[in-house]
Amino acid sequence: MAQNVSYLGMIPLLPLIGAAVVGILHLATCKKKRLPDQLYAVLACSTPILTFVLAVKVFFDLNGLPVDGRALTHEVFTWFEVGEMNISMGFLADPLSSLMLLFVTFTASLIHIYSIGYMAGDESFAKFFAYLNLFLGSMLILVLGNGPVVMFVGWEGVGLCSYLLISYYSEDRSNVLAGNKAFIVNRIGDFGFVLGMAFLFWAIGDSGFDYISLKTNAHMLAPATVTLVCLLLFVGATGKSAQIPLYVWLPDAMAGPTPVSALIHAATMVTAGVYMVARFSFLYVHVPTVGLIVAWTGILTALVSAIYGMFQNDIKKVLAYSTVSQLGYMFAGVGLAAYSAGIFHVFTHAFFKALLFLGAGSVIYALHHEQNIWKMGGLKTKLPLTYKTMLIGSLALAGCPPFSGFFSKDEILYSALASGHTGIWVVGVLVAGMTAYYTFRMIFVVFHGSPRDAHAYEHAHEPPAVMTVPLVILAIGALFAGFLNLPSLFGGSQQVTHWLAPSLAEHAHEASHSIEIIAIAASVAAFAIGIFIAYRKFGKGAEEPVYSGFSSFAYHTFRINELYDVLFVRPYKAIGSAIGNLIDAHVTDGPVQLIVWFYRQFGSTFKLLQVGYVRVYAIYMIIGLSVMSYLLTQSFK
Amino acid sequence: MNCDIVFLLPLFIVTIGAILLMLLSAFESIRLEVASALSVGIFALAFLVQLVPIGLTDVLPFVSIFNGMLAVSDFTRIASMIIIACGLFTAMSAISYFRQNNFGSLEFFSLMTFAVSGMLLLTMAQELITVFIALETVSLSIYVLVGYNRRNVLSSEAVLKYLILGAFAGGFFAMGIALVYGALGDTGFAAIAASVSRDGLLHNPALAGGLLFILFALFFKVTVFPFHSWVVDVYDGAPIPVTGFMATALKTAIIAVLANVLLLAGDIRESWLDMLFYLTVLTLFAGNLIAIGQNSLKRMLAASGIVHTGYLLIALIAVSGDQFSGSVILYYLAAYAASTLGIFASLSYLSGTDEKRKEFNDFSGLAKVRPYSAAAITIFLLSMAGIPPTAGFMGKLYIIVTAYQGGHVILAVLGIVSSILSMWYYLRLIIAMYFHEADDLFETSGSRSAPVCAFILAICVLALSLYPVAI
Repeated sequence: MAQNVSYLGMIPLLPLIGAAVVGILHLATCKKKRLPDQLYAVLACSTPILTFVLAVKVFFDLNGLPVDGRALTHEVFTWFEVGEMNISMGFLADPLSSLMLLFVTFTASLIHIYSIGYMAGDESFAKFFAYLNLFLGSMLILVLGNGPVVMFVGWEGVGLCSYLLISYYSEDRSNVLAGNKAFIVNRIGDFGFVLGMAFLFWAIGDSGFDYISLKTNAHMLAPATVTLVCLLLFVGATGKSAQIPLYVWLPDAMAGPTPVSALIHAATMVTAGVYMVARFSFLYVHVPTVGLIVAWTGILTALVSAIYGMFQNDIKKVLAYSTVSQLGYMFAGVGLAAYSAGIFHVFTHAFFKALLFLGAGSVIYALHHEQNIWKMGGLKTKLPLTYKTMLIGSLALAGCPPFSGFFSKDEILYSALASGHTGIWVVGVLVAGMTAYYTFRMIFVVFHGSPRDAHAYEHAHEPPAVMTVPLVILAIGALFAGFLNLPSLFGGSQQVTHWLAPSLAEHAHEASHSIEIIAIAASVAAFAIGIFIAYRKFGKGAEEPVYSGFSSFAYHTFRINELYDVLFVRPYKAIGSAIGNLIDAHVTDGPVQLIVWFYRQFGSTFKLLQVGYVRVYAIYMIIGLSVMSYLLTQSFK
Repeated sequence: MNCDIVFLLPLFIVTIGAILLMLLSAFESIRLEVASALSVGIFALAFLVQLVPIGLTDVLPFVSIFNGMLAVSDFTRIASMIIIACGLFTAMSAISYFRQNNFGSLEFFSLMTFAVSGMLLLTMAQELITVFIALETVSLSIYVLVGYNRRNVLSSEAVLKYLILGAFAGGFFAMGIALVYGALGDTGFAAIAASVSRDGLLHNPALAGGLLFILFALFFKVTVFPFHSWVVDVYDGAPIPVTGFMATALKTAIIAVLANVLLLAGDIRESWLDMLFYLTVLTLFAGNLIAIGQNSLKRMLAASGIVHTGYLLIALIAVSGDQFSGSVILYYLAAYAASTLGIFASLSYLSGTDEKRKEFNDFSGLAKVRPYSAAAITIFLLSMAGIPPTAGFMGKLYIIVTAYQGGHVILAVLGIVSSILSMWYYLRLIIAMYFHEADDLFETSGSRSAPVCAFILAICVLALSLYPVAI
């Protein structure tokens, strides 16, 4: 049975309190005397660290329980109760959410600390940290929520914070538009989520709408309902986790400050979709067809965005497309019911992608907000620590053994091969090679060769310790996190998979070691080929290429944005203006105005009754009493 | 026996506090702020004592002394808490008001505290003469408060109207008591309940007539159509804090008495169901229609108070007497009180010298000059209009759901329709504040206490919506 522990409620509450305190202090003082930034920094950084401590406690508390009973719950209050719908604001920590909890609070703590350096001197330093804390609180609600409704609260909360932080530099209109785009595209996904949730509630919601009850009652669902619910929930996931066709917002989201890209748009929020599919694994496992759709969507997203990634000039765009691509891998994993492999990739990806973004942040910081890789070069002598840590991150991303990314990505590819989905496997290996290529293209162009902009190069210097220490810690994580789930082939015992097992409805794909060796060999070969080509082209310095033909097409991301503009945005706007200018003005407005007119007349007539004379009011009362008395006498008959 | 004193302690604290404040008024050197702080302290203390739970069933404290004239339960306890909180916030925001309107004096706070003590007694009263005495305690204090600004013609006119009509209604109440006594030889609620459940209400015409008169007087106080006409003029003439106090605390107390009387025995409510139904519908729509025509904010709020009474009547009709917990009614009253007090606190602060700003147009562009005040007012208005995520929404939702479950589908539908109609005048102020240009600087006295009230109440309005009640 699940244990009730009250400190669970504190975990999301702490960052929310932090956000409120920092936000209110900022609002109260921003127009007068500014409080010192250090105060805000201490306030804002203490909450993620405290939540991390609590997350560790959750982990050990769970570890102390028997495997089947590993669940901690806490119901804070009944949120609403209408008819059969009884929703409580409650939290659930089981192995899956505890793993998410650990790395979310861990990376969030480091990124909060890093931001102290990165955002130093910013006009509204405190506002940034208030948003960041608010984000963390919402993310923890998402992860810890005990049912779909509470998860949705967090889901919307992180969406809001993502919007606020993408548009953070709001003086620039394009940043604001990027925030709008992220928000609107996410709404499309959310619509799917809400519909899926509604169907699920309609089907089995009246006997409890939290994960534990849903899991117990899932067998009562008709297969068609499961298919529909899973598809709709996946639509939600494609929005939040930037998959085809809704991935277009994530590259634009890079308009936000770099720590935001690291925390929200790489390590935590964008993996919420994967988490959600894993959360609902008890449904997805019954509909392999939907799983296949998920997996193919994922792997195609991985392919397409890897192609884009090979032709980008902006260092953050390269990383953004690589995030989309890695998210694709995760969906391929969870789609093939290898939930623990997908979640494990979420876990390792958080380390190395946060590391890469923060490293990119250091480069951008050192070069005074230059993001074009073709204006960089030779920085390894100027930024030795950043170089080394980013190199570790890149090796992890590219899947070089024994870095963390290798193990997690390989587990996904291996499950694809073992379950007989050769097509997905082939594309996956291809993408692995492309990943190695674009990652090292970035490393070679930025850090090797000779400086392309001598002036910026001269002034570049390593950022302060508050920024480099998180880099080093994340680099250690990126290096070793993979060993936590070492497969038996290498003498490991797959601890993460075993840890997650009680939360997930997983099919283990039993296959021989020879298949596993084939999978590993193919991945390593793809990695080697990718890095070799990158070295040949960029290793010794290269000039900015002129894109033409296919490369130009890929640079412009296959003109998907323009296509969406023509297919959806413009028709939508046209319909909107038609309704607004024609139907609303000429069709619906007439009756509405008529009602308004009647209503106003009625109102003025009634106002006339308020004559203001006491005698008249007394007469009203007497009339009223007489009628009441008459009614009373009538009832005596 | 030890507990009995705790149950009555809030009443004692408030009454003793009122007397104390009246004595203090003799000293000229004491400033208004001190009296306000003192009354806030009294209310806070009473509120804290009131937190001690009682239970759903009636407890008769000191039976040997009071002979069952008073009864307390969780229903009266929560109602008392709402009343005390109304007093507390009114005392706080009155200070900001008197900074700009110089007719304040120490007796104001004493009278208000007396009114609260009468209201507490009203919620507990289980006997008609006690009800009458409590009602008159409240009324006398409020008459004086309404006419507190002696130099203002409107204020004097208001108190005269209220006094005359109030005396008129009070006469009916006394007559009602006489009839009931004539019929039963007793004025206790228990005796009435016993007689009605034994023989039925209509068996005894004198009893039915007497109760009708009593209902009439209570309906007058809570502005049920067609006994509502006084409310617009009186609310308009009274000083802003008093208007807010009347609209919230007085309504809570009278609704508590109404619930106590109507739910005494199933037959009382059943026999008058048709009459109550028509009165409710008329109250809802009369209130809305009067509110639409108003240009003054105070008059609009007065008229909208009639609508809220309509909602409370829906709840009174729909709840079943057998398992009455009053939670729906109390939730609505709390939500309504928080929003209304919030608006009046904001007005106390913003209305300026001699209440110069009280029309819709006077608040044009407030959001551009005082964004926080405008935001707070918006929260209160949205709550009164019943838009989520505010307490007002949840209150209306519960009432409509109760009506639906009780089989009063027509009332539920009309409740929704009335809620839509009410958008007209609530949104009108929001539009004025946000979409019009400001031609006023909205200078204020700078007193902090009313804005603090408004801030706390805005939080309450949002926080209350998170706490549901069991229907």
